[in-house]
Amino acid sequence: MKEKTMTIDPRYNMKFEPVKAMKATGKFLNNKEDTSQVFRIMSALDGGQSEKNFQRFKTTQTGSMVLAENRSLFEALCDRDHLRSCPEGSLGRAYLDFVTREGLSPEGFQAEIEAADEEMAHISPERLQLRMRIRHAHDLWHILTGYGRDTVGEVALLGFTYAQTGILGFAYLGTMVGFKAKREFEAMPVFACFKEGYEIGKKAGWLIEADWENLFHLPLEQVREMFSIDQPVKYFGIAERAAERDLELRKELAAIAA
Amino acid sequence: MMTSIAATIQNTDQRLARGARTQQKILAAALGILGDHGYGALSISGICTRAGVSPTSLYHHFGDKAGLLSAMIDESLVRNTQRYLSSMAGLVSPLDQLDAFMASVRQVFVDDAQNSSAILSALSQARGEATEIAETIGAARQRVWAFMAGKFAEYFKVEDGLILAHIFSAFSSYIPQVRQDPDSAEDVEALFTTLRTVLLIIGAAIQPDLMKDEKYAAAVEVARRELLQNPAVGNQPRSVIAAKE
Repeated sequence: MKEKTMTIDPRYNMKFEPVKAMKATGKFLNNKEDTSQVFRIMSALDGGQSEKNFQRFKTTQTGSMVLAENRSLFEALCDRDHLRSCPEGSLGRAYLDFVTREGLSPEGFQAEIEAADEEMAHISPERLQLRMRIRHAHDLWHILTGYGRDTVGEVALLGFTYAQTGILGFAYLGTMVGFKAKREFEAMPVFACFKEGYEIGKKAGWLIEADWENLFHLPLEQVREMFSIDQPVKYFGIAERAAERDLELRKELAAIAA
Repeated sequence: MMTSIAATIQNTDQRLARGARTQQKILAAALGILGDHGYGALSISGICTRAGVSPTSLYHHFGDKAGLLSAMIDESLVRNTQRYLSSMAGLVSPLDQLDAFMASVRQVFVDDAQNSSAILSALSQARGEATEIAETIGAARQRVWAFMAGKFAEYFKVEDGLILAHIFSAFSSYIPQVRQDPDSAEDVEALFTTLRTVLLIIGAAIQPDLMKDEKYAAAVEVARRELLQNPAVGNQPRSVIAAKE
């Protein structure tokens, strides 16, 4: 029997597959532990946008350097001694404070991604490098935009990320989480914050090309100005209440689990 | 005196009606050319010949090609919205509302597919055209999004529906792509089945109150079973599954 040869496209998913995304959504809603479905949704709704971003990134000064030097943002974020040596009020110190306060680690995030993203094995090393760079920059984006890790903040940051990357999957996930948040965070303008995040992201410079490793020592405000990142006025108006409500929900969940 | 005023009003009415008819003829001719030959064939002279009007008349009513494209988009938006609103009128049950929504999407992209595809494809091609046309198309897209955003915000009871409109617009443009394949009927069916299934499940997840409606709750149960057990609900065309079985 003639053996079938399978060609693997080293590019990101060039197809736009909304049906696949919808099916993955249904499965995820049935079993929220199955996070691989989230990666399936993102891949299905990519439609070649990641590839466009990669081609653009390659032509930027930072992009060509990052790729040529095979730089890893993950390693830079794991270098806590270096981050600690950054001046008070700098991006590096703000990042270190943020992950410490929130109990996060780049190592844990890396492990989560590796366990759930099936597409990692197929794309070229350079593309994987950019993908991981964008993912690891997520918490840096939190810091620069001012969005907290409460659910409303995450939704707004998804709006910002959608505007920056052009990837519809972020809009789709933001909408799903937004609907959930709308129920749990009653009377809070979740979708207004979502749109505000999108608008701030549209107006800001392209953070994908940020030379993070050389920005850590700079004052946070200076980096914000460098990328024209506006303050999220609507979100700041409810941030405190959102964080309190988030804490309540976490306590409720913990009580259920106990 | 009164007779002359009445005559003037009558003449004005007739002129307006004639103008509206001419506009419709031009729009129909442009849509016909888009549907038959694509955006590349859309020229002022071609439209005028097909509509049986003079170029002066076209410029009078629409200004230029950009104005004409903009009017086509607006006309399509108004037509589809009226259709959608009349299908939803008086429906209370959430399941009936969902099915009416599905039916109007089907009407736009399947029953009226030639027109919808022609406009969508023109939108996409015209964006790469001269700055003026690209700007007009951009502005028309913004109007469509703003309109849809308002409708989605109203339906889902959220403050802003702009990003929902983006998602809907992207998903909608996928249907004409699938339909380009002459054997796409099965795929289109699978697409609508999946869309309905997932919308039901999403509805239940985001608005638990919907599950108080017995019909809706029963439909969600069927949807969950279908999604998990029936491979036809998904990306794979039914024809392929049937052949395997």
